[in-house]
Amino acid sequence: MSDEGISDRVKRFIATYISSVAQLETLLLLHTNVNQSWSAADIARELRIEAGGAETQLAALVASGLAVRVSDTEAARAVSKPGDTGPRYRYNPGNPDVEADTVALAQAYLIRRVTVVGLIFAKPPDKVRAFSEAFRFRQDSRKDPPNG
Amino acid sequence: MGEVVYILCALTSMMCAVLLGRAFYRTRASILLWSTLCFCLLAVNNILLYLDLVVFPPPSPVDLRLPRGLVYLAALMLLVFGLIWDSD
Amino acid sequence: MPTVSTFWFSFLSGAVCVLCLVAALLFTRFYLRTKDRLFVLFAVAFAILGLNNVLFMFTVNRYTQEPEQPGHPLVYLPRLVAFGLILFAVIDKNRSRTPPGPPA
Repeated sequence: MSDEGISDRVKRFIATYISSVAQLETLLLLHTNVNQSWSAADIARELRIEAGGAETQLAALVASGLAVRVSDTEAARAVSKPGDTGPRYRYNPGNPDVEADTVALAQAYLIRRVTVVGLIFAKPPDKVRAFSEAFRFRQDSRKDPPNG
Repeated sequence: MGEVVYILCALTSMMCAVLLGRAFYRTRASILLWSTLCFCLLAVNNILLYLDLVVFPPPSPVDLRLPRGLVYLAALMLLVFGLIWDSD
Repeated sequence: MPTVSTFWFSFLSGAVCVLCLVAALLFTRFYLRTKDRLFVLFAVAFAILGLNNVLFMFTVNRYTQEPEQPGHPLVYLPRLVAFGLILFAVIDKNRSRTPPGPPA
């Protein structure tokens, strides 16, 4: 599968920040709705994944500096469904280069979705994480980076 | 009391060696090879400590301090090498 | 009676101590990179193992003047704590925090 048509900056962004399709789609959801905060339940509903998985992706995005957790007061105001009291998160690129890369990635995902997905799965394995994951008794072949 | 501790440490080291070895077998990431060897040698070190306490207590002419020290040193050299060289 | 000079024992003990501390440092670096709790626990465990060697100075046998008596609490207690932390780290890793089920 050739990856022409995808710019180098997008490839670099994927290699640095994106480790799964779920993470990519979470990021793009946050990015499309910049002024809106999302809880794990919201993400889980939109992407049709489990809430725990959504929580993992949000935490990973916060850890890599692409998202921030909103303050509790703002979170309380923004609750979309009753009973959804979990922490809420918002897209926060930190610098204009990252924002430009995210926009480019969003466009690439729109027009060359299969290629982008291929790039995500073609990432070389993270050796440090491999060390940590080795200690799981029951191995999972998912590529999502669990936190903790 | 010490004997129990060293046996427990040896078992923990062996468990880590097994987990890391299994992961190395699956992924072939060399950092896992070095860590596996490290924990194998740590297990040996703990077993030697146990032997030193139980089978060869101080009045015995057998002095395990040099083998213990060398095994421990080798274990850590492999670990540190692996963590530096093979962590991208 | 020991037949190897005390220099070798000091050398090995010192080298092991420093390597343990270096390993602790490397695990700390991995923790900062991945925020994975296992690495903090390993870092502390290896730091304790490193400091354990320092404690050997206080375990010198009164009669034979030999350090590093394996039966001395100052030798095995830190080791127990360190490996206990490693064991805890492995158990902690396996208390499922990631959801089961098919990949997203």
